[in-house]
Amino acid sequence: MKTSCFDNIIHAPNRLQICAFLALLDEAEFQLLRDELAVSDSVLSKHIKQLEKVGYLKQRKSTVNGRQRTWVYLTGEGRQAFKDHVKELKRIVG
Amino acid sequence: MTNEKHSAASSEAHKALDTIKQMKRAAMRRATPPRWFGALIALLAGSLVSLSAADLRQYTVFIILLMVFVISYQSQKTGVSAKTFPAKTAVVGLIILVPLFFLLIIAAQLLQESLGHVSASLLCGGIFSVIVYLLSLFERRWYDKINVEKGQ
Repeated sequence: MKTSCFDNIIHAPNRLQICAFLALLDEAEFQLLRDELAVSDSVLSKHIKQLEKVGYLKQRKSTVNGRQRTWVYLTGEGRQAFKDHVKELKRIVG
Repeated sequence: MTNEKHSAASSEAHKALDTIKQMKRAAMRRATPPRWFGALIALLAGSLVSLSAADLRQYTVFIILLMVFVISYQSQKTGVSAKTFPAKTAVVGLIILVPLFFLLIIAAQLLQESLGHVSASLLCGGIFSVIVYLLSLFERRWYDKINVEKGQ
């Protein structure tokens, strides 16, 4: 049986917000995510890169009306890690 | 000391769970499609039935393209694509909708003699539109339910 575990990568406030926002979605646009988190492009990029590095998140580029847009989504591994992290938080709260 | 540590961890975990709830609510708010979207898709789906029943199948490709455009416009506009609608419900919906689509076309062709060519096609298309619109309302209710649950 798989046990829940606390994930330090996910637990950082902005990364927790990113994972929670994406958990119920297939994907979300970078700009929208930036507005929801109320952070700058560079801050969001930094967190996205960290999540991408551990394989929790992926990016997809698309061009609409000649404008490039970036979409981000949680991978299967990322979804599972987030689920386990929430489980662990609930266990701590009791 | 251990109690203090546990209390601090518990308070931090509580804060993190609150943040998660807030972000999930925000995601759901963004993902909920507007009413016009469901109505427009229903109307287009109904016209697919009407056109097929009226032997105007060559025009259905325009309706399909329009549907693709509307769905992609909505996704681009909101900046998110939703995941919450459960796969099982979506599959059941499709299993019901696809045969119903063809049944209504056949029904329209059978009714053409008694109701007339145009009326029978419009009637069956209208029925399909209403069913698709009801499904879209069900989907909205689903999103609202998730919103309330995540907000608790």
